Amino acid sequence: MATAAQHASSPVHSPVPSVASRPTSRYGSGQTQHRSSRHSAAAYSISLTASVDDSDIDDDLARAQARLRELKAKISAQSKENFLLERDVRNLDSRIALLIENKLASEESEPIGITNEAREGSLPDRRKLDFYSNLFFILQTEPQYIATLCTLLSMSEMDSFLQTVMFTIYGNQYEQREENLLLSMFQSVLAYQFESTTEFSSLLRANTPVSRLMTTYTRRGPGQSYLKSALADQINYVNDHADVNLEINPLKIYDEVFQDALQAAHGDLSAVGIPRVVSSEVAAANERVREIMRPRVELVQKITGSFFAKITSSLHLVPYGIRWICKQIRALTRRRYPATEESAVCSLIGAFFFLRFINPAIVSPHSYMLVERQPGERPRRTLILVAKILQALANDPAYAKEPYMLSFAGFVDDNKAQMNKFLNDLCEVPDFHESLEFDSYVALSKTNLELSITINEILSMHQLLEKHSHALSSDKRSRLNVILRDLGQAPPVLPRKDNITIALPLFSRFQSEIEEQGQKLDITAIDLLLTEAKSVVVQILRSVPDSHAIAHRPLDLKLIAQFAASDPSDQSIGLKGLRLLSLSEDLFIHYETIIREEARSPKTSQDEEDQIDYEVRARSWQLFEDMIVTLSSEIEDELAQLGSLREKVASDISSLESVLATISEHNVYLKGQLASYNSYLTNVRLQSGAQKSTLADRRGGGLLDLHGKSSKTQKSQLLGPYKFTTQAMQKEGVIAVYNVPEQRVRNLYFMVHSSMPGSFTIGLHYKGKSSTLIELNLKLDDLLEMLRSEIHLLDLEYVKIYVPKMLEFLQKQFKRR
Amino acid sequence: MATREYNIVVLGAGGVGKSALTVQFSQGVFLDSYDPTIEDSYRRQIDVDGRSCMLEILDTAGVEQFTAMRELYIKSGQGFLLVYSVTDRASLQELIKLRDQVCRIKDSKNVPIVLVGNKADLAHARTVSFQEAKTLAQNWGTSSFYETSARTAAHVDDVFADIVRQIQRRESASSSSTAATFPVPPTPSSSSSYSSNGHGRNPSASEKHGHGHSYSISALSDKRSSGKRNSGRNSDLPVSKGGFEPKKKKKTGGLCVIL
Repeated sequence: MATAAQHASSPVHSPVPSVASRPTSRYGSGQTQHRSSRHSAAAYSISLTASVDDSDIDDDLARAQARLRELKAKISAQSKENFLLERDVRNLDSRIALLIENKLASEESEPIGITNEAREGSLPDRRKLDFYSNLFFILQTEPQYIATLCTLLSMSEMDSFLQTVMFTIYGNQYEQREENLLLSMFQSVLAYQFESTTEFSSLLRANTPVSRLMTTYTRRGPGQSYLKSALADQINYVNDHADVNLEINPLKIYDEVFQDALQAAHGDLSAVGIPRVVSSEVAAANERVREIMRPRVELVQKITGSFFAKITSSLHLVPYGIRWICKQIRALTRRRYPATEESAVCSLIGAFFFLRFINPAIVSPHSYMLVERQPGERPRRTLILVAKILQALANDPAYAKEPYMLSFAGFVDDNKAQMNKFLNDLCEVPDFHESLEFDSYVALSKTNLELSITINEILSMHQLLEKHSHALSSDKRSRLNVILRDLGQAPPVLPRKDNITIALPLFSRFQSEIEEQGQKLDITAIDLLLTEAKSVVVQILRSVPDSHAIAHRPLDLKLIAQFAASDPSDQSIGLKGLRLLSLSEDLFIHYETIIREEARSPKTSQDEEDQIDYEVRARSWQLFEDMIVTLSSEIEDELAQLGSLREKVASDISSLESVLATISEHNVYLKGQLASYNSYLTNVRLQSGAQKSTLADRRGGGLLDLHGKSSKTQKSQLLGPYKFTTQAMQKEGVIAVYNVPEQRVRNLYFMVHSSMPGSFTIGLHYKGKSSTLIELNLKLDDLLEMLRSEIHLLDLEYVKIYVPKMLEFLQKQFKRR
Repeated sequence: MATREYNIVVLGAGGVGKSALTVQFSQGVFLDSYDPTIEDSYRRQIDVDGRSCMLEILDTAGVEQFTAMRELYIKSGQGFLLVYSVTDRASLQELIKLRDQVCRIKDSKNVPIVLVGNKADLAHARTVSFQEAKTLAQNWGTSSFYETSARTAAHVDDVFADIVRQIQRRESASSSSTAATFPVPPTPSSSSSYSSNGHGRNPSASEKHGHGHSYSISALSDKRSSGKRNSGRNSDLPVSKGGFEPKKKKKTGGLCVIL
């Protein structure tokens, strides 16, 4: 850690020579060729990487790699099961939503029947859906569009947009590919934020798209389970001691002292002997107040210490994505503000990790589902004090606000170094760009990518893209613009009742090309170049023994590039070397463009032009060299984490083992969630006044069925049975088709009863026969679900029921108040 | 005279200067370092229209991740300072939702609220005009709007005096029994100060003098000179400057004249 800090802050110690001394002319020959072959080169390097994985470099390694593959397979299988469970949970969720919606709708006494006419034309046609498939494929795989949108939208547009982004487009939280894509979107937005902030002190401070992204991101599954493991015990400990008063504000303690005195004086104000209201100085100086305060301060410190110890020891449980964001914050700060002190960098990491993630959960644990209900007044105050002290630890405290917080200055000083170490340790995770590049090729070959998305999510996204298409891509031939043109004008969103969820398959009709990321997003072009350069250097270095000349520290990027580019023994290394040279050239050109933009003035003579040109080059060069220094030290950090390939495999195994453990845990969690959703669903049914069937059982939806739970309430809730003739039912429009000869129709009749709200039993009888022809148990949400899936007819063998009318009929007949 | 307590809650987006404002008011110093608030409380006694008032001020987190705590604050508060930064348009927009939340939880459209545009000294970075925020305040049915500078202390005391008056007025209007706890009923002179001070009774008057309406932003950076310049023009405004404790105002004596 300390070394990393030194490298970053004191470039003098790592005199890294340049990669290229005159980059614009030096690599002229062959350069054009590289550029055009870039994609194939990248693809090629991937296939080589894959083959390296399989070759038996050594037995240990081979065994380890076999274990790795096995783990990956297990994880995939388990993930898939989880995915199915998640789908079931979502299903239940949407059923609950349907019930609630229906309840609201019937309370407003609107007709609930969804007619065919309302649906007509509301769904985009097949052709359009194909375009949307393409559009969302692009949005998902080229995160810079979403990143750019994040910076363009207003805060009010942000919420539903982020909902779609986080939970639909990248909704598969346990899938590495989507996660990596989401994170690279994050990186772009963060980079933009750093670029557009002029003052260091205001970075990441206000509520911005980035902070909203962070909130939404930390709210996803992995973040929540981390909070639970890192905080739940400590919070529960505090919460269970509901009577312990740890107020340490002298003014408040003085109030306690005064109230005690008042009570001792039997409420006689004049006999109390101390003034009721005093200044904070007087209160803090009061002997009794100090006596009460001293042990409380000690206890608060102990509790905070235990929180802090648990948090630091749970470092390895922090979700990768959250640590990766910390790492980006640190890297961006060092790049943009190289003079920043280490402690200021730490406070910025703390401003994300503690201020936006840990502390909110400590002060309102119930809204993070860490405890069941809002803590009482005293535990709540204790938790707030804990959070305040942790915040002071993570952010150089000024103590200028509440004077009594000075009581903790000693504690803060004692733990400050450990806090900074923890914040830096958080950043020690590997980058993922390598695997992302690989994944994007895999994604092309995958056929079963799809999103579960509502029509309105599609349409809203279309509207936003249309509104901002200029800012997103100025190139008329870009894939985004081509598709937007094909799609035509964005239609208005549908009324809520017509807004259904569909499975939108994702595919690309631009199969052959993978666009380069850097060209698409100017705001982070430089960062993307740097990131790629970093990953290429790391790949090169990992392919040579640690003792190799190019691996000597400090790293000499020029040497590395030249060695690799001219290595005849290994083609993949050669390609990487060439790529590195071309990256460094691009980087220089970018700097030059930026500097030239700044220096441009409309009227200059030729001489001045030459002079300016020289200055531009000199300044760009300086910028470039500085960046190489920073980059070298970042790469050294990266390597320190990666170790050799063997260590890498070993660490991959252990991290995958923990992934598997997490997934298995999640599996347990999902099953629990499913169970509680089921009972919740039963509850909602009870409250929503109409009825439903156990069609779910028939359809074998794979849901755990807990319907039986409600049986206790059944007796008191019974309505009916009522008898209805076929004529009556026909009049209501309930019966769509008879499957029996006409003369027999009059002998048919229905017996309907509701055993509890939301649950109906419908029996079809034939006059004179004692047994029921057919009996069906219908639940309200089944009917609603059928409507949503546009199943309008329910086959009862003898008759076919028209579902929308059936729903209306049941709700009318069994209205409960 | 008995001292009444007033629970005041300061709300608003992150980084708009809620703490700076509150600390300037309660301790007379300007905080210039970044130390995000989780929940801080302050107390200060002031005289408003001749009454001694103990202000219990709760300074809250602006960071959106802490919004779960807001409901509790709103329930416990009697008056609310809704603070935005004149340099940050989004921070004003956030207040619209916030005010809705306050009204919803209090179940009233008449909650004592002061709209506060802070950082008015940063003229070069201003993105929200005075008039725009004033219009918003009027839409809310209140003329209690001030632009402040926690750095120069401009209008900081006015904000707190205003919220206290609003709470007093609401209580005396809603229940006659509260008169018993207030030994000093409003005198004719103090009640006239309400209307001419533009606290809702006389909107046109408030429009005319409007708090801060006539000050120039550049004047905020040097309160002494601006105080002199503006004092003549605004001498008709009954600012209760004598009411504030002088010892806490060492840096800012005589400032309240700038309106």
